Amino acid sequence: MNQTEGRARFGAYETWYRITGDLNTGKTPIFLLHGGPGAAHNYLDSYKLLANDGRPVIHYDQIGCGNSTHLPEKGGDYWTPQLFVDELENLIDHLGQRAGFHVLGQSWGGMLGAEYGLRRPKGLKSLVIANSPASMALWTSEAMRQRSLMPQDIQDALNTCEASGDYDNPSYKAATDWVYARHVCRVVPNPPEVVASFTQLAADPTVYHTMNGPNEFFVVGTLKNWDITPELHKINVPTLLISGRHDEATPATVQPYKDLIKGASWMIFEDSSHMPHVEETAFCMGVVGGFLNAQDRTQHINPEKHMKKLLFATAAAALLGITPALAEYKSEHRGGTMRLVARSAGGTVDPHINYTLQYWQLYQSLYDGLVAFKKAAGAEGFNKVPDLAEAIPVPTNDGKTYVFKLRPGIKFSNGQDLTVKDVVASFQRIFKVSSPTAGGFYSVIVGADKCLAEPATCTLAGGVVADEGLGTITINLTRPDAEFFDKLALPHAAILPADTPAQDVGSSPIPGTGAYFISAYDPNKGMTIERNPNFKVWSEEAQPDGYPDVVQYDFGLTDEAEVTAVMNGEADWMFDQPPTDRLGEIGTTYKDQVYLNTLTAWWYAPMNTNIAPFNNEKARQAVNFALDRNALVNLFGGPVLASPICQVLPPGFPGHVPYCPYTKDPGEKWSAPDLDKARALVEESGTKGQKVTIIAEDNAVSKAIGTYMQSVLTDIGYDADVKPISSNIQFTYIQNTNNNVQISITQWYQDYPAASDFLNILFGCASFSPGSDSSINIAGFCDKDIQAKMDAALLQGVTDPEGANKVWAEVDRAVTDKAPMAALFTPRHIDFVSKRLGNFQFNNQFYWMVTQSWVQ
Amino acid sequence: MVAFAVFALVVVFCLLAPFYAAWAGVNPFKSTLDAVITLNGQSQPVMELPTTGLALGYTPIGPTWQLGNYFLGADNQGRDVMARLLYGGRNSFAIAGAATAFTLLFATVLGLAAGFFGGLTDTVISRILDVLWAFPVYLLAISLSIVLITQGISIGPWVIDSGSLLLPIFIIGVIYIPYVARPIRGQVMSLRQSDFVLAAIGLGAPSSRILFKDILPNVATTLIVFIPIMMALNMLTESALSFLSIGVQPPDASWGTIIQDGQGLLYTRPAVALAPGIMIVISVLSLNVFGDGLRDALDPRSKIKLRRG
Amino acid sequence: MVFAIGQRIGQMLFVMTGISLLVFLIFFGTPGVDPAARIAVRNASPEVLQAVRVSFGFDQPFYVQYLTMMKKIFVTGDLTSFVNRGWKVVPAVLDTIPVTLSLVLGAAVLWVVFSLIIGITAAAFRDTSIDKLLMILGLIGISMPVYWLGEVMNLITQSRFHDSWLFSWVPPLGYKNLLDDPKGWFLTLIIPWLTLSILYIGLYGRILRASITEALQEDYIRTARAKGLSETRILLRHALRTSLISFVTLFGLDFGALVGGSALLTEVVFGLQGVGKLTYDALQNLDLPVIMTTVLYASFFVVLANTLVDVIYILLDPRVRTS
Repeated sequence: MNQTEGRARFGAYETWYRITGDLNTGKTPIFLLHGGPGAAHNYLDSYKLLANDGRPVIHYDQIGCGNSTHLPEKGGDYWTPQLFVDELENLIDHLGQRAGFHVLGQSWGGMLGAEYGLRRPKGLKSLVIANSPASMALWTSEAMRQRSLMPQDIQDALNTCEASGDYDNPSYKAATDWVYARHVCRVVPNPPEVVASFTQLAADPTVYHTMNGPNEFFVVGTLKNWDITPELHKINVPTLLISGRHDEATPATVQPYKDLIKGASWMIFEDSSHMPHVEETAFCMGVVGGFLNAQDRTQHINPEKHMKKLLFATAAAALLGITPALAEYKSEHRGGTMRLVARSAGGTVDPHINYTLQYWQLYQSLYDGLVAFKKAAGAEGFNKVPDLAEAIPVPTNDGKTYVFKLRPGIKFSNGQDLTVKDVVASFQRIFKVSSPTAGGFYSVIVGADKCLAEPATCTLAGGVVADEGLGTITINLTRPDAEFFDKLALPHAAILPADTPAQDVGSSPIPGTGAYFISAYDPNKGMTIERNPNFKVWSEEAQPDGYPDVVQYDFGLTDEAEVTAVMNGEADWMFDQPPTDRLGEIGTTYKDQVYLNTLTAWWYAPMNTNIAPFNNEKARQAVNFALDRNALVNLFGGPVLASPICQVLPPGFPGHVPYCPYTKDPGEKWSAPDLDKARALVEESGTKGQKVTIIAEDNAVSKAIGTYMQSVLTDIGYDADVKPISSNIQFTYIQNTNNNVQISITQWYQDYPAASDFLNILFGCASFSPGSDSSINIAGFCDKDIQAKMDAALLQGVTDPEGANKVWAEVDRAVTDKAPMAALFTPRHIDFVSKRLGNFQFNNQFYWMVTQSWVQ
Repeated sequence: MVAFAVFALVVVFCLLAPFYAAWAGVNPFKSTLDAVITLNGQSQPVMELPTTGLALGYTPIGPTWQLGNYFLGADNQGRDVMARLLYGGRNSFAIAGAATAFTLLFATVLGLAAGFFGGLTDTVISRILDVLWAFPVYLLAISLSIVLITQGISIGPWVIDSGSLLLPIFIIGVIYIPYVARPIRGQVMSLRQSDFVLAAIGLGAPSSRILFKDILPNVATTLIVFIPIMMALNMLTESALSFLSIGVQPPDASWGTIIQDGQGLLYTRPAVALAPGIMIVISVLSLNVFGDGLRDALDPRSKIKLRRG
Repeated sequence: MVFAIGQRIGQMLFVMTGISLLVFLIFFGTPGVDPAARIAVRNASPEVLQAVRVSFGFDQPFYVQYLTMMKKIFVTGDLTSFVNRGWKVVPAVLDTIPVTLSLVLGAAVLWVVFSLIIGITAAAFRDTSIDKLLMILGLIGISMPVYWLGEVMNLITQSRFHDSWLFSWVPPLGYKNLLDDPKGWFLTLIIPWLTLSILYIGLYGRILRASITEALQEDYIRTARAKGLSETRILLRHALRTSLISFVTLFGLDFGALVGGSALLTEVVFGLQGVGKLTYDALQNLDLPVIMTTVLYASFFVVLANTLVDVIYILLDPRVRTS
């Protein structure tokens, strides 16, 4: 990529700039505003990757630092935001880019960007505010809060030196380094371009010291009282906010931007702090690049219609799972046929039995429960809202009794009225059809034990009681259950007509109350979903109206053919994840049709704790130390598609506290494998040379991972081989203790967002049943102390979910330490859609909300 | 004979696999995702993450066309495809050869028994062969494979581990028994009626003597003609089974499994799938040509016909 | 003779019973195959597992399960899949027949036409370089793994050269219904037809050449030559006619096998939902009812073709009848 440097006259002084790419390509350029103030452009170097799309990227050093004119003599009244705004305006004109440009500001640069944006300058197309606080007061209070969570010795060092003003003390330096490595840049040692910025800042700290202060969390300079919140509403261009989960600019400091800039979208990078462009470079470039491209497209297609512009902005905001601000129904997009493709069908259509993500995703617009997960994008989708019930009741009787009042006037798609009888019959039916979770999820209902023993005559007497006169349903539990609403919101508790046959209906669809219904289904061919003629919206949050008139879902294509079909516009979306050799093409030529979302899921390798060699804790830890999770991530499709993990709970999940003991420098994050340690542990455990067979699934990714693990296990001293077996039986095969599986590769996707869904289910004593094909505790791990803690957390969760999550975090650590598995990575989900598909929204609970997108 | 020479050459090359791997300094059975090679004076990682667009995917290096230096590029584990190709050939030949021996041995025994003794023996054997014959070849092979690959097999005291090469040999060997046993049975039946055998029986010669002295030598020609044909057929079947991922198990390789690995890279690195396919075509073709020549020489009336591919 | 034919039909039933028993036995003994846990799907409690087992009759003895399954296939026809529950297997198999038939019929037309051309040409120019070239080409056709050829075809037509004028007409993989979209039907099948037929063109071309050459040695040909008939006439009217008997016999056997699902690899590679693909998917799923039905269906065609050929021989050749 060619780079040109130059200097622009700014009054008596000069601004140094660098252009990556060619200003004449026609693609709208982006100006990068660096932070500090006074940190210079160096550490933002990686944003030059945006030029890979042909977009010119302009870095420059703000006046007073870097290669621009230094003015060490100037005082506090000189260094004002207005000065830097003027400098930027000057540079834009100097380069002749007034016709159109984007601005990205990082940290202080983002604050400057906001200052710039609210002045509504001519030519500004969009604004990206990266890792910036909206006010210094917020920044300081959040810094104090972050500090209060740090280890005592760090806090002490900071406090002592700040009190005495002894900022050069070595202990102070050590403490700030510790903080910087966690909240400023988590890539340690810092890459050269970051070091370059810090070095030049130290050489001439005039601007930094004047405006900010001696360091990042000690703001005493002229910016001390800076607060832009009163003026944010003036910003009228599409705005993208990005920040890191561990950012010193905490989510709380960014929140005002989100709330006050109309239509602003916000992406939080889970593995980053203050520099996602360094810490998660590829992913960050994908997000920013995608946003900018979406803005360009909007403005090229329809420059004059402001209304359309807003819509496109929303679509762009939806890119990469960012919550759109606008939610009103756009009736001009109503209609048309949406075409989906998948390799194969998902089995029975019975919502009480089907347990596949494939159909659960569809059920959202087909069926309703008493409560539902909110139909909203992002993590908001984890919230429960009343659906067929008028309200979410407050439990009585020590959390054991719930009274639901049914909304009146709702009809099934076959025209029948919904009554309390249907509700009672539906709960009985869960047991009569032996729903897979009948024993796991719904056994807390009074009378469930009898129903489990004799499904045919299930009544749930005393458990689910209807009052026809009042239109209420009372549910009594045998014990309080913090996750009961989650369970009620799953498709297995959907309310179906009372006269639905009490057996698996297989391929004949059951009428539902949702906005759509299944009009045809053949597992060898496809499924057709049409509008429910009897549907009227009763709650936008629970069951909104959809856009397409018909959804046609075809089965039987290979993954490759699915990709081709979407590329050629013959299909609007593919269910399966694209095969790895097509990713390059999808990520470049078709990147505007790609949506990436982090899943609350993990890939892991359970190790059988009851047979050799992994009945030895050291052997299990050895495997954990040996696995190069970066390699695994790459085999999955690269760092954009997955993140390494060492622990059970995925990032963003309740109870998740970053923890990684199995890495070169144990801490919060995995950095590199430690093969020496692994070999030593194998040696110590006395299991060296033993035979180990890895059971993988017979698909490309799982097989590749298995083959790789075989290599690693051989490397650390085992006689390893890998056996890929048919994906359809692998999952039950590895569960059955009779098969003596030592180590396997599998995945777990959340049922609902609760720590117990990972910890208690996958590593709880109750989930281990020897000799059975259904023993989801594949490792056969049962630790009395950990189990006791989990039971306590479950109980505590009823009244104190926050406190319970703290306990879950401890359980997570304890399980991770015992290593009944090797955590591999957290996957991201690719949705590859057609060009014409609009309003893509990703719900963290049930993924893409199919009928909320439009095709015309 | 040119054909035989070509075939022999391919076999020899494959037998040299360990030397090639040692010379190239690669381990074709170990994942080497972080390997770096020198290409035209520049160092180049074997597996690359893209930097353009959304930076999705993880692509192995393509053919370098430099012998000993990832000549045909790498597969998705960063392994040298050329080295794997040679090693894979060894397995393909070993399986095809052993399966041919297995088939011919059992087919001869069954064919001799059925044709010579007739009666109940013939009925039982023929009906079993009928069942095997009517069972579509690939269905039978796949059914057997899926089951056996999962659990291995134990016949009395012998246990064949599920990862073993003996399994594909056994599977392929079994399914083609009827193809050879039937014509042999027919031939033996007609020999049994021939004057010299009837004469020998009339003289009171023991059955075993007649079988080995009079009948077997006559059948031997047929068997020899079958060898290249069955080898060719078995190579195709082996590769098909491995392609359906029920033959040779990773990290071991055969040409079929390399094609299957290559299928996942078909769009980015087609060489991985093309090279082993071409090797199969060359080997099978030379076997077929050789078989043709052999048949013309030994069996001018062309009683044996290649039936299926 | 009636007895002989009756005996063949008896044997046919025996063979099919044998095959179904074999399949049942193979899949009964495999660990991880017990469908109960897969039907009940992930994390089912032991009570639920047991309920499923009872409702599907998995607690019954082996022979009862076998007989029940046979009854459901042949008598009531309401056998349902273990994987896609409630999906009736017998109609599903019947639904795939048009796809397989389309594939096999088209390929058969190609291979008959081209192998006739090749066989006759090679025989007419026997022992010349044209003959040798054609025979080697035929051998190459026989020597290519069909799935690999299919992959290469896909690579060329779907990816590498898809945008060139040569292959821009090639539609995406998958089957289009003949009645709904005749043009699409034709276009999607061209490449699979070619792929499937190449093997048989090679095989049949060679066989035809061999038998024509053999026939040309016969006495009646010499007589015809002596009568002064033209060489072309002798070749087409006399030698070819005799050679066609073995050609047609072989064709019957192969066609039966292909309709029965032997085109599995071609169907898998090209994503055609035919009997072969259905069987392959079912094997991947270990969906015993589907496997059972398709295997019986396939073996029916193989056995039927064999029986028909045998019966025709019985009718034609009195020696076989008496022996």
